[in-house]
Amino acid sequence: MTKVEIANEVCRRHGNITKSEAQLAVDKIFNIIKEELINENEVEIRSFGSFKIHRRATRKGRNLKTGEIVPIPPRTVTTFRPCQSLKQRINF
Amino acid sequence: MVKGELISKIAKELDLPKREVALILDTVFKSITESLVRGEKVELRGFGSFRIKQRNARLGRNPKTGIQVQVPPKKVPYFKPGKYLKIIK
Repeated sequence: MTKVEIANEVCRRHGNITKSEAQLAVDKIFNIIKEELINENEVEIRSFGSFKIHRRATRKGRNLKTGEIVPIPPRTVTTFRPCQSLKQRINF
Repeated sequence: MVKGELISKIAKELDLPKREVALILDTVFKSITESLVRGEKVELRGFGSFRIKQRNARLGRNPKTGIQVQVPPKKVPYFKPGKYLKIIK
């Protein structure tokens, strides 16, 4: 499923919303979530799950070919925690 | 940020009634959920993708009693962030 298909679904279920409006809204939803995450805020969507940015510290790694120790730079990762109801729906 | 704040922000930026945005938002996440339940992958360009991962059955332990228990196989929703989300600072 893609964003376009989601927008079509929005149109199908809400007759008064045009296709372009739906597409704009779908794009907006994910852009705002993205912005919030970039500002390191947690985003929680009840009945779906929450998104959060975690910082990972520098750690020591090894060049597997030469065996020398090289530092792995600090990085940020995005994690998604599905909520209980989503996990249940997927398993039944 | 919670759903209500997200709704307010979208309503303001798109100049739409909050009621309508709330309906759209619910439909969006409902259709993603339904798609995942059907086992499909959901790809949101510029944001990331969702798919289902299969977890095999394994032997676990009750941390309290130390008794070994069989953990049944299960499916878990998995989110892979897009490149944009990876390059934060």
